[in-house]
Amino acid sequence: MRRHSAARPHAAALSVVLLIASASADAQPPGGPPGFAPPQRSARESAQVDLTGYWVALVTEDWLWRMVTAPRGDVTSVPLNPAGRRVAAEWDPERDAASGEACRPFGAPGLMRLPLRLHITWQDDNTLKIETDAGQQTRLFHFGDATPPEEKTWQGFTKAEWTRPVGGFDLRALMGGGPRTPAEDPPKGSLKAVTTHLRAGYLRKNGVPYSENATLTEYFSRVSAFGNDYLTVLSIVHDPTYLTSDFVTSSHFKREPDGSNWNPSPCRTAPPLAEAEGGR
Amino acid sequence: MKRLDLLVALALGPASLASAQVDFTGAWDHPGLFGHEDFNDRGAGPEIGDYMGLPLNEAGIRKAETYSGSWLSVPEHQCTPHPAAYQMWGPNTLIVTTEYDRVQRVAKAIRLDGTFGIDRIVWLDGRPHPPPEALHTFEGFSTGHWEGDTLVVETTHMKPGWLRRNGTPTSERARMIEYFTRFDDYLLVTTIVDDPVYFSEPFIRTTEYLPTVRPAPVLGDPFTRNDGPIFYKCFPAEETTAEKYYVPHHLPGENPLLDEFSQKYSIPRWAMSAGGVTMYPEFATRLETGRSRGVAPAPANVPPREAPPQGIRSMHVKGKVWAIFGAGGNVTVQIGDEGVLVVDTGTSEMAESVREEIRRLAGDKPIRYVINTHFHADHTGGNVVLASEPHQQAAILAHENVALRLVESGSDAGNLIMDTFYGESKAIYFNGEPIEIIHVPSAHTDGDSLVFFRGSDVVSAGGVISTTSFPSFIANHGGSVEGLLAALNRILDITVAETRGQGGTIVIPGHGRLYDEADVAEYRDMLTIIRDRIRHAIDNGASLAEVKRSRPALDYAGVFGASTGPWTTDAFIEAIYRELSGGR
Repeated sequence: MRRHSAARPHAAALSVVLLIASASADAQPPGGPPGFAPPQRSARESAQVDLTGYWVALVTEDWLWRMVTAPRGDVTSVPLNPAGRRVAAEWDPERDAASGEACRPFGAPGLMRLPLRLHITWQDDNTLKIETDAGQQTRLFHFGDATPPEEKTWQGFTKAEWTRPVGGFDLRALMGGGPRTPAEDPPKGSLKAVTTHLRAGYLRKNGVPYSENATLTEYFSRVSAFGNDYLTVLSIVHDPTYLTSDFVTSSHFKREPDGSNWNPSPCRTAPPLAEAEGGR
Repeated sequence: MKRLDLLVALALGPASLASAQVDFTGAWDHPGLFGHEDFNDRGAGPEIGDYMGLPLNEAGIRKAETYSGSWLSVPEHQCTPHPAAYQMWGPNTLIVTTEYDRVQRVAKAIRLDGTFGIDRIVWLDGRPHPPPEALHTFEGFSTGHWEGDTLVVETTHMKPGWLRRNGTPTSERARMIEYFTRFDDYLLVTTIVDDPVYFSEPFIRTTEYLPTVRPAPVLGDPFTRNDGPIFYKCFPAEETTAEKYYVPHHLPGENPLLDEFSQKYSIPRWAMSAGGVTMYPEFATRLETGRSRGVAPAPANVPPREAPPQGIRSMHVKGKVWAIFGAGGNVTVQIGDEGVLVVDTGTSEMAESVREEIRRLAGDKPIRYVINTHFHADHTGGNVVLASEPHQQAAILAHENVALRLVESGSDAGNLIMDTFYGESKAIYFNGEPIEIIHVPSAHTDGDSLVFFRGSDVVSAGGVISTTSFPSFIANHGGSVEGLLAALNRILDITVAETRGQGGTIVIPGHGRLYDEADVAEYRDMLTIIRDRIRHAIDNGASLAEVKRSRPALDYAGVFGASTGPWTTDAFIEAIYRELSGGR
């Protein structure tokens, strides 16, 4: 009897292993080994968090560097190396505009810090699209095996994946379960996005630079409180050319019910309100 | 077969981790130690006038613009820690520890310790938030639950505090929700504060941390690392030669530092007072065009989020003292081997219920003493019932003006024999502790007393403090604003904070929630500031109508104001005006 009962956990173990094996089969690409693998779900179907909708930036932090244009040379709290400081000191917005580079502050590493609105939609089942009204930029977040283009652009190439935050383990997803419904278990994961192939631009409107070697890592998640729905974005800019360490910021947006406040405008940098010397 | 067991463990292990949620335990620093944003908040502090990007309404703007940094030199405020709504923004190392229930083997609480703040406990064991009458603290009362792998923390019972270190206020009605989420190596804390008194909409802030790369600081000491624990308590010192009881503040429109900020950053003055609209993208255009939109109006008063429970309820305060709420006025009860002492007896309608509650607390111990802090019916209405127990007639103690006013008013309580005093104080020793009955002349009325339980370290303040209305003084009953201020300062002479400016001596007000020294000081500050504003206006020849139009109580009306009832905001302003103007 004892030997018999002792075998039961092993049978359970076998079942679990088989289930996990089936889950790993779920990860097989289409055309993989036939068997009991359920059909692969699209990024939209397996979303860990619904980011779609209209969102407005709430500039409650770093206002003096985000809402207004800081003076040339003001690089407060950005871990620039000497090369980065030199570039920042040479900032000339008129030159940028004349050379067709007015969108330098609107590149992906600086974009989410600007006072603007986002419109997030699914371009297709595996591509999430983020549009901005200010600067009229479009970011495409590619899930799966998209190939980056040769060209470097303001928004670069973004590879995205759903993640459970550290410590999390979506056993159901691993088991190949169907999409969650908000009623049974609202997804509490996040979106991780890594952007490369960037054209050199600005971390801040006043010419604080990042180079084309920069990599932007972002985590998008959602929280709710007091009747409002918020989108939070944790951003890490890695740039060995101009930064001494990763530049880490977090930004937040409030959901808007519709696009009635959407106000598209071209890339433009307002002149600084204060001069660097003798001012701030 | 052992390999299969291992596979089971590997398969189930992460799932178990998920149910145990994410472990935030450890020491965390902002990236780059001071962080890459909010430099002004993490360094020397933001300048007076930097209210940009905050959802302040006009009450919040008024409170901020009249704040003086010298506030921190006031003895009762010197040890104030960073409040919970600010703490994550400060230049702190965040230390997170987990406390486990050793029997249940589950995390029962998480402790958050910010170097320049005060440690916060987040209860995970499902306990409810305290009743509205409970003491508020700078750290507030926090409970947490998990949503997926994010820890969600709700905090209530916060004392008045600030969003930035430049006087931008939060009120005692504020409530806070925080989300703690791990993203790879990063910890992101999203803080959302809703304050219907000072905000036009909730305020949100996101703060990021990395595991610290430096030696973890010693808990409780902000400046020393790895030098061993250091005994750290803050006690106030004489920092300035300012007159005792001086309350620093700027009169509305007379804060010179606002212009300094405006000039330094080229931010127009109108923009600094624009409040919540400064958070939104449109404001960038408004700054360029000079188009202003008015700040959100201040609420005339903001009812508590939760209506106080109906009926009689009691709370242990400290030592041998309990408070009974819901009887009209608050009732203080001291219980010991010698019997029961009651300070104030509520309304006559609630007297039987109060007696029942006292019996529930004290059993069949007799009521030996009743002390009346003043003569109003919501504090003496139960005298007849409570002082006339079948087998024991309790002695009724009060200042002699209470007896005179009771007789004058025709109250039933006026027919009872009272043991009155006419000097500055009277003392008795009962239930093993000295009890001082301290007359504070011409305060709420002309017969007010404070009752100080020296052993229990509790003051029953009677009519001198009502936390649900502006400070009340009835000129027809011998009260005055100057007498009331003197009475509040007398309480502050008695109270001693336990640490970081809070706790220690507890004050039971005549109406409303429990106070400590910090709360009484804030209440005293409010009355002083409003008095000063009205006096300044009178000195400049303002009529009562002009004073009312200037709204001298604007920044406090959300908590203490009323537009109906016996003590409206208008009645409060009129009473001060008439006293200070000599009855004009």
